[in-house]
Amino acid sequence: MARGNPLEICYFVCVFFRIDGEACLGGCALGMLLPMPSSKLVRTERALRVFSETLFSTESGPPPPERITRVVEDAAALLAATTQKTRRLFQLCLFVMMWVAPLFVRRGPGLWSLPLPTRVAALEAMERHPTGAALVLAVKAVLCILYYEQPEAAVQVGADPPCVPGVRKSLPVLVEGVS
Amino acid sequence: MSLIEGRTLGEVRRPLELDTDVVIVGSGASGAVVAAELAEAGQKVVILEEGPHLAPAELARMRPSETMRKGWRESGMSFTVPMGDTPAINLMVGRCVGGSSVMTGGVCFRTPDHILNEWVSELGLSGLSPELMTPYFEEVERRCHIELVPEHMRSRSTVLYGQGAERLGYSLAPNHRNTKDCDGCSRCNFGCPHGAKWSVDLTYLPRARAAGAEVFSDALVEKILLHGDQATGVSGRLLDSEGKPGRRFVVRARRVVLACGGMHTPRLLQDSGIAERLSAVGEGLTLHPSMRVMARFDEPVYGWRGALQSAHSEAFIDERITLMSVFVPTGVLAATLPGIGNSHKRRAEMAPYLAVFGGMIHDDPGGRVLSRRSPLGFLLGKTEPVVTYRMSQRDRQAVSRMLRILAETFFAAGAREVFLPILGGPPGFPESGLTADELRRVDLDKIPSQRFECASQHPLGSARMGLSADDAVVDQRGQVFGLRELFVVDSSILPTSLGVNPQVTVMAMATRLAHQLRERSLPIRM
Repeated sequence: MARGNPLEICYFVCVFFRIDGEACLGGCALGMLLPMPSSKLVRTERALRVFSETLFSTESGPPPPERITRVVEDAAALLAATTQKTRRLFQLCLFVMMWVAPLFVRRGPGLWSLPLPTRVAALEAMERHPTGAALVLAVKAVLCILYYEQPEAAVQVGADPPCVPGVRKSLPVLVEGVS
Repeated sequence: MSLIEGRTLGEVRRPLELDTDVVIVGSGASGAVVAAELAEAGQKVVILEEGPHLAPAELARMRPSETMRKGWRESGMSFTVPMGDTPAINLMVGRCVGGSSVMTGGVCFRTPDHILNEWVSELGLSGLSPELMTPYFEEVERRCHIELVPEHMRSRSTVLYGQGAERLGYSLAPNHRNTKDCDGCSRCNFGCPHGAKWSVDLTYLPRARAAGAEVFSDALVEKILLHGDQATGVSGRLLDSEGKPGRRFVVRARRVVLACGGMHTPRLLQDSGIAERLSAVGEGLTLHPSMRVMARFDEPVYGWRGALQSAHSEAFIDERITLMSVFVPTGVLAATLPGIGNSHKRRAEMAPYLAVFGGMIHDDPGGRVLSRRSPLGFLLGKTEPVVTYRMSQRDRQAVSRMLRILAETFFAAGAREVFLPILGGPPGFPESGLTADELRRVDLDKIPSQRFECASQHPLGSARMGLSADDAVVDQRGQVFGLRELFVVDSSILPTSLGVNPQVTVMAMATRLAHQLRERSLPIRM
């Protein structure tokens, strides 16, 4: 599960109560100095799975596991294309949600350990908090883009399937002669 | 050879070395223009682009998130660091052959006359008067097939907003876009799958190539080479298929042209030690902070059917606000509505009933690109520059005004509720949209700015043009003060923000500078 160290916790306590540029910079600077554990990505993917299952759950439970797996794999690929700074900030958002969101419903830290309805309630409560909403949105935006790209998910909410037709123009494109 | 993918050249250990007349760093809206003009004038041109080449056929196969991953800087996840009472602003910038021109909505505006006149009268930039700039605008418009978006291509979302505007006494005007045979599938920001958007990878770069220019993708320039006070080339690394720096390269050139945009041109000047001579490098960045309001109607809207950005309004330009039609993917709609689990699903199901309209602020220069040599830049900006932004008080007031105009217009059009871009919802309304009565009770000026969702696609002015090295970086010819044969031609030279989408301004300025450059003899090789 996503876990942090004391410096990360200090940073988020500081940001949680007063998010502004100076606090962000100080906290980020501390975060960047920390070594990245090799197992971090695995933990990130587990946290993404917990968040996705909770976010996209319905009365009948979480969506099929293969859909969640696709979202998590795509999110990992998206993160892999960013710099360490962005990756770490995203991971810190995940970390703080895993540990802090349960406090909003008076439960101990560890979102993954809660039953699904309690997880939903915890994240909803966090989303209503102005600062918590920023953290939730950071992760929710990425996961929603990936989830609703799946044609079956898009159709379920009444959206058109993605528009991905073939190229039909004969413009002087730069592709020929690529070496 | 037309386009050389740097990732295919990485196996060899010894550095890649090239000699050329002109090296251009960046292949976007400005670099491509200068490349075409100089290559057609007979100069030997090399263009270096950090990002990959994404051909239209490839873009057509990609899901939006794949385009974000491959063609947007930081997968679209860059943010400014807010200073003081300022929102964190999501910076979305292209990073591929063709640059941001591949990822824009295609909206084209000439620089407003009042802005050009301000540059002439207040900043003394006499070469930028409306009369002198007109031929360059005309040339860009001709080459990029800039046309009016017909009314029938407006989405229902835009039509509804337009009806509301008429009822409130203002109107929408059709946008100009650089498109031909657009289908209106509303995914311009992820690269046009039809090749209908005439971005520079389809217009200027093929011209440059036909005239002998070489385009290298996956080539990250790290430093400008100097010999005394003369630029003599650039050096950097080729990137492998995972974007990791590998083989070194050196391009020796008689002239160096920077076209890497408002965030990376100052970064390159800083990394090359040039910022130490010029205090304005990285300072005075403007962003055109933009926001959108969503509104729920009783009738299905299907706002994604139609041109992504088809109309705008300049009715509030005196208040430094430009309103612009826009739409966003279903996933983004769903993400920005509150809710988790069942409540999220219920709101996501509203997507077909949602209309969206946006606006941008003609902002004051509150941004800064931090040098890697500054303590925070060193800690945070190892690979990507750190951008800080402090919103001025009058910009903050314009944000409140803009959101209220957008919301009230939707109510005039018959919307049931509106969703403002406020994290955690407006005070007292954390979970739902606002009715018209509820909107009247919300004091937008009192909401901390950090709670606004805000985005920018227009980083401008971080190496601005001026008359003196005391407060500017380049002169009216685009030459960096105090250095010979080093020129900047991109959005970073714009002296102020514009209040409108900057693509045509950037291209027209680049055309003007390129015409001057081709008349200027090249120096003897050092």
